[in-house]
Amino acid sequence: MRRIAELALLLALPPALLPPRAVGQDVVQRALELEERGLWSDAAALYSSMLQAEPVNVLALLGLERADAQIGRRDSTLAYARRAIAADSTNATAWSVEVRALRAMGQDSLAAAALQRWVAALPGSPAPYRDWARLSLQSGRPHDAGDAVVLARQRLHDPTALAPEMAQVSAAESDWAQAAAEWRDAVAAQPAYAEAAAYSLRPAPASARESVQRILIAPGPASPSGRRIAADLLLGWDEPGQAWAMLQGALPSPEAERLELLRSFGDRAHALDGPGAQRAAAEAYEMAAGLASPDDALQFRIESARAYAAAGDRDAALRLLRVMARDTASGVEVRTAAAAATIELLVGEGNPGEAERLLDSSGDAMAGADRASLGRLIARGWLRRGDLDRAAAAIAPDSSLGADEIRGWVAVYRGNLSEGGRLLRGVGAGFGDRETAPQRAATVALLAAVSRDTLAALGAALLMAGRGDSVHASRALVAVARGLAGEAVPVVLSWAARFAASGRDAAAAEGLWREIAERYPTSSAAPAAELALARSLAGRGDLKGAAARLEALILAHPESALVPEARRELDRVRGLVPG
Amino acid sequence: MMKRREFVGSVAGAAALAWTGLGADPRPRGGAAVASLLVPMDDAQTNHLKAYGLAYAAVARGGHTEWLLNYRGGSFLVPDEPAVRRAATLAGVAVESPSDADVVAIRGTIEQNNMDAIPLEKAPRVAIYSPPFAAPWDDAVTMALQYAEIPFTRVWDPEVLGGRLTDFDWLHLHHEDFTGQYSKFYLLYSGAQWLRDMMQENQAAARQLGVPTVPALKKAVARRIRSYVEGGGFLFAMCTATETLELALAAHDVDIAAAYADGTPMDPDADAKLDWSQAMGCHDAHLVIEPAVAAFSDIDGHQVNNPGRRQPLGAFELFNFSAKIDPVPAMLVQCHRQVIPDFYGITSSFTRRTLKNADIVLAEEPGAPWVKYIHGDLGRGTWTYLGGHDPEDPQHQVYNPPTDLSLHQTSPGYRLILNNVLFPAARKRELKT
Repeated sequence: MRRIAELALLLALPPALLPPRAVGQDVVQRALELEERGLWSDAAALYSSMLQAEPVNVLALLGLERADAQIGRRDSTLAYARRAIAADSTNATAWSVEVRALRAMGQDSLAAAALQRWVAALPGSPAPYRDWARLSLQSGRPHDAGDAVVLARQRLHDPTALAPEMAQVSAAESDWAQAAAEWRDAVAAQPAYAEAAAYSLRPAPASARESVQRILIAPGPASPSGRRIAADLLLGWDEPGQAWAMLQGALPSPEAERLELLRSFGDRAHALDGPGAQRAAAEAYEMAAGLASPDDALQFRIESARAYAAAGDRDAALRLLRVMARDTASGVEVRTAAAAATIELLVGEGNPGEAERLLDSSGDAMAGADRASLGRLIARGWLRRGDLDRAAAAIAPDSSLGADEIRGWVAVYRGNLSEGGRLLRGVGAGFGDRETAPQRAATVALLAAVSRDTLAALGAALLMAGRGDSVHASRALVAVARGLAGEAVPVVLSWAARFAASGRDAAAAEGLWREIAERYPTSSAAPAAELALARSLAGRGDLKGAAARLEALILAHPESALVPEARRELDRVRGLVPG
Repeated sequence: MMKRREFVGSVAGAAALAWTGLGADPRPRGGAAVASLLVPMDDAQTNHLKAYGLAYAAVARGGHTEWLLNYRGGSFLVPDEPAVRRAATLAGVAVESPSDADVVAIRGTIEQNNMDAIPLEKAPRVAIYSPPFAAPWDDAVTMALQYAEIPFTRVWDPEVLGGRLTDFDWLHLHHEDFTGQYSKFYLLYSGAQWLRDMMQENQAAARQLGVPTVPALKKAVARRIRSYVEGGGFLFAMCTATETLELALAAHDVDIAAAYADGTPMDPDADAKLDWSQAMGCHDAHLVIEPAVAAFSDIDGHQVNNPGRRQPLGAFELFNFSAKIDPVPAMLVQCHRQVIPDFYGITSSFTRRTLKNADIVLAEEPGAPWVKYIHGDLGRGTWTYLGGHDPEDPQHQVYNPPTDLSLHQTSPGYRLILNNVLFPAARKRELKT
C-alpha cells in the first residue's frame, strides 16, 4: 500500500491542474499555516468560510478536504463539493473531491453514482475514469481500476487512454509485460512519467525482467522513452554498466533535455553502492559537464572525479581534477574547488602526505574555513595511517569541535585515556554523523569502565582498530583485558569479540562471548554477549545452540533491555515466526 | 459418550456448585491446596497469544488449570511450578503470584459477577486441514498455534477420507475451497506456478482416492467433516473454508463447480436445487455464478473480490454471554477488547439473512447486514466460523508476506482463534466419535 501511495505522489506531479490563482490567497495562506500547526478544525472553518463566499474555490475545497479528513468530517467536505458542482458542473476538482469523500466514507455505491454523473457532465474527459482507477488502486482493488480504464478506452475511443493507470493495474496483477508496454507508451506521451514508470516496474521478479526489457526497447516511435525507463530499471536491478549503455542510446537531441537526463541518471547511480554504479555515474557526469554552463560544468567534473575515485579509477579522477586545476582560463574559485576535491581524493586513497603538500601549495587562495576543514580531513588521513604526530600537527591552529575530537582520538591512541576521554566527552553526544557519534560515545564508555589515566596498550589496540586491522586489534584487546580486573575485563573482552567478528574470525568472537557469558555472568556485558553469541550460532545453522543461549539470556537477565530482542530472536530460531 | 448439551450442562453445573461465595475455600473443588499463578488476560498481559500456549502446556502436563471466564479478560489460573514460571519468563507472558487470600477474593468476585471458573482438564488433540503444497498465503490458525507453541497435526484429503479425524478433538479449516474451484483463482492467476501446483496436487489426490473430480473429492471430504462434528468433534473454520463447506454440503447432488474445475458447466438451476438441510450454519444462500469472480455466494457480506458489491471494512463487536449459563460461547469470546477492527478474507462475514435460526452469533458489526463470528451445535459436536483471513493483515492479498506474530503479541483478533483451540480442553470426559 505504501508503494501505491508513493507512486500516486509521483503520478500526481505531471498532469496536475494548477488551480487559477483566486482571490483570498492570503486567507488560504493562513489556513495552510493552521494546517501546519495541526489546528485542523480551525483550518476547516477558514476553508468553509471561503467556500461560503466562493463555492468553486478549488484551493479552499482541497484544503477543506485535507482538514476534514483529519477530523473525521468527510460529510462536510461532501456538502461543499456538491455545492461547487452545482455552481460549475465542469469543475473536475469538485467532482473528484465528491467521489473521494464518498469512497472514504465507505459509500461505494454512492461514489459510483457520483462518478456516473461526472461522466455525464464531462463526457469526453478521462478524468472521472482516472480518478476512479487511482482510488481503486490505492485501496488495493486493481480489478476495479482495470475495469475503469477499459471502460474509458471504449467510451473515449482511445486505446491508449490512461496508460499510466493501466500500467499500474498490470503491475499490481503481476502482468509485467503489459505493464512495461503501457508505461512505454505513457512515457512517450508524457516524459515526466519516466520516474514513476521505473519505480512501478522495479519490483518485477527476475524471471520477468528480460521480457520487460525486450518490450521497453522494441523499435518504434516510443523506443527512446522505453530505453530511458530500461536504463533506470537496470540501475535499480544492479546492472549499472548495462544501464549506462542503454541510456547512451536513448539520449534526446535537445541539449537541455540531454543534460537533465544525464544529471538525474548520474545522481541515481552515484547514490548506489559498488564500483560499477560509481563508474556509470562518473561517465554520466563527465558527459554532462560537456553540455553544461561553465559553473555547472565545474561541479559536474568534481562529482565525476569523486565518482571515478569511488569506482577505484584514481587516474581518471586525477585526470579531471588536474585539468581543472591547471586551467588558467578558469577562475581562482574553480582551481580552488578542484584542489579541494583532489585533496579529498588523495586522503580517501590513503595519501595524506600528498594531500598536505597540495593544501600547503594552494597558498592564500583557499578560504580559512575551507582550509581548516581540509586540514581536519588530512588529520583523519594521518590517524588512519597511524601517524599521530602529523595528525596533531595538521589541526594545530584549529580550535573547532571537530579538531578537538581529533585531538581526543590522538590522546586515546597514545594511551592518555583520561585526557582523551575528557576531549571526546567535551565534543558532545550530538556532534558528528551517525557513524562517528555512537563510536565516540562507546569509546567514552569503554574508557570509563577501564578507569585508568593512562594505558598505552589499550590506546595501541584501539589505534589498530581505527586503522582497520580488526583481527590484531581484537588480540591486543584480549591481552589488555587479561591485565585488568573487575567490570573492565568483560567490557574490554566484548570490544575484542566485536572486532573479531568484524574481522570475520567467528570462532574467536564466539569464544570471547562465551567467556564473558560464563565467567562474568553478572556483568553488564553478559546479556549483549549472550545475544551476540546466539546470533552468531544461528548464522551458522546451530539453531539449538542459539536457542539455548537466548533462553539463558532471558532467564538470567529478565530485566535487561535486550530481553524483548532476545525473545523475538528466540521465536525466529525456533521457527515460530517468519525468518 | 457425552453429548454436547450434557457437556455444557456439566461444565456450567460444576462451576455453579464449586464455590459458595465470599470466604470460600481457595482450593478448586476436590483438590488439595496448590499454589497458583494468575495469568492475567487484560491489559496487564504482555503477550496474550503465548499465554494460551502456557495454559495449554500446563493442562498437557496434568496440572490443575482453570479458565476464569470474564475475569480480567479471561485470565487463567495455572499451577505455580518452576516449569510454568520458566516458560512464562521465556515467552514474556506476565504472571502474578496471588496469595491464598487473593485467590479467595478472586473466587468471590467470580461468584458475585457474570464470571465463572472453568477447569481445563485435557489438552485437545489438534488437527489442521492443510494441503501438503505451499500456497502463497498463510493460515492464521497455523501461525497462531506455532507462535503459541500448541502442538498440532496436519491432515488433508487422504487422512480425512481415511477416517483419521476420530484421532482428534479439534479440527481447523482455513482457506480451502470445498466447492473444488481452487478459490476461483483459476482465471485471475492463470499461469501462476502455485496455482498449477495446487491443481495438480488436488487432481492427484482425487485420482489416488478414486474420486472422479476435485469438486467431487471436496464434497466427500465435506461430508466426512460433517460426520466428524455430528459424532462429537469440534470444528473451527475461517475464511473461505466456512462458506464453501456450507455450499459443498448443500450441493451434495448438484454441480456448482465451473467447467474448468470438473469439465462440466455448473447446473444452471443449481441455486434452486441446493439442500440446505445438510448445511450446518447457513441456508437459502444464492451462488455467485461468474467463474472469474473470486466469490462464492451471498453468505459472505463483504464480497471483497466482487467488483461493485465489495463492502468496506468496519469493526465488529463481541457479544457478552453469561459465563455461568452459556460457558461455551462465553469461552469463545474471551478477549481484552470488546470491539475489534474487521479484516477481509474471500469470505469475510456471514449475512444475517443466510444464518439458520439456531446459530449463535458471537460477534457482529452493529447495524450491518452481516455478522462476523458464529457458532452452533450439530449432533454431539460444535462448529464455529470466524470470517476473514488474518486479523492482523486486514487487506490480506495473495503474495503478501506472512504476518509476524511477535509483532502482534496482544492481538485481540488472534485471541479469538486461540479461545477456540483451548475451549475443548474444558471437556469433562474423553471425546468419542
